[in-house]
Amino acid sequence: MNRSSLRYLLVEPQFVLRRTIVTVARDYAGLQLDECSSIDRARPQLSTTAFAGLVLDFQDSTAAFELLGALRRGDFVSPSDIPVIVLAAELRPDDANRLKALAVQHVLGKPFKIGHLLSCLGVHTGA
Amino acid sequence: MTPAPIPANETERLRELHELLLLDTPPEERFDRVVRFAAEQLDMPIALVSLVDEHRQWFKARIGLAAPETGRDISFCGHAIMRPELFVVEDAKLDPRFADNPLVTGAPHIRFYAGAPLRGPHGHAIGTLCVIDTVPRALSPLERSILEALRGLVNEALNGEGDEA
Repeated sequence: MNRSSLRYLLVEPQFVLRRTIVTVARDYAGLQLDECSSIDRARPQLSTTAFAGLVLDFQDSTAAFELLGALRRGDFVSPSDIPVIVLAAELRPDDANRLKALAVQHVLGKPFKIGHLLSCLGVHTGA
Repeated sequence: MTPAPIPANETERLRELHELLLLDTPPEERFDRVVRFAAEQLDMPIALVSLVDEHRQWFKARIGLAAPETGRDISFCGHAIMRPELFVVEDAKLDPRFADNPLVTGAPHIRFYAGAPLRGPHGHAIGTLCVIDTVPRALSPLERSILEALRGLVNEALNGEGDEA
């Protein structure tokens, strides 16, 4: 399947970061990222749409772990094993271990370059 | 130095700029965060939302530059509003339009400039979102895409659009 035909979900509360990621992913890389500003808003989307991957802000770590647990249990429409990228301003060692156990592919420390995120999504950025 | 040219639609352009009621207003977070983000993503020491007024460019948002405005005649943004696409000067010292510009020969010692024209609700180019460096450089296609995306956010803010939820 062509990557450009896949849909990813971005959960990110910061407006400028979120909107820029979505626009650059579309215009530069041809990727479709659906977006929402909170984990509460992500749940309905995950329940109705099969996403090929999830990019998840980690500011509310408790809610993020709950969402990831539900995803891996197969509680949503999306396959339970879709790739997950976590965006974290800070991460405790225990958090890192739990994320690893939940098969999170990448953890990007904020602030990060958008090109780095695109690379994690499999886009060649020339960087 | 080539002074910033005056567009053919200058009267209408200035009317649109003035009707926005943004000139000489206090800083606003919705614009400040865009210039902070532009500087961070593109590794630029200076990023601005510049509004090109009749005789000056005034900065609605700025990072890395102390001056709140400069003369329009010496402004790079005055050149950038003359075209719809991104205006890039990779090395101002090698560009006859800017080599002896006081913004190049003196502070802030501009060498690199990239400006994305901003449009008001009626479509006139009223200013730019621009990034500036003090060393020569180029923008990668990805960096261009990021600047274009941020230009879109500022345009939405100028036009009263954009849901920040």
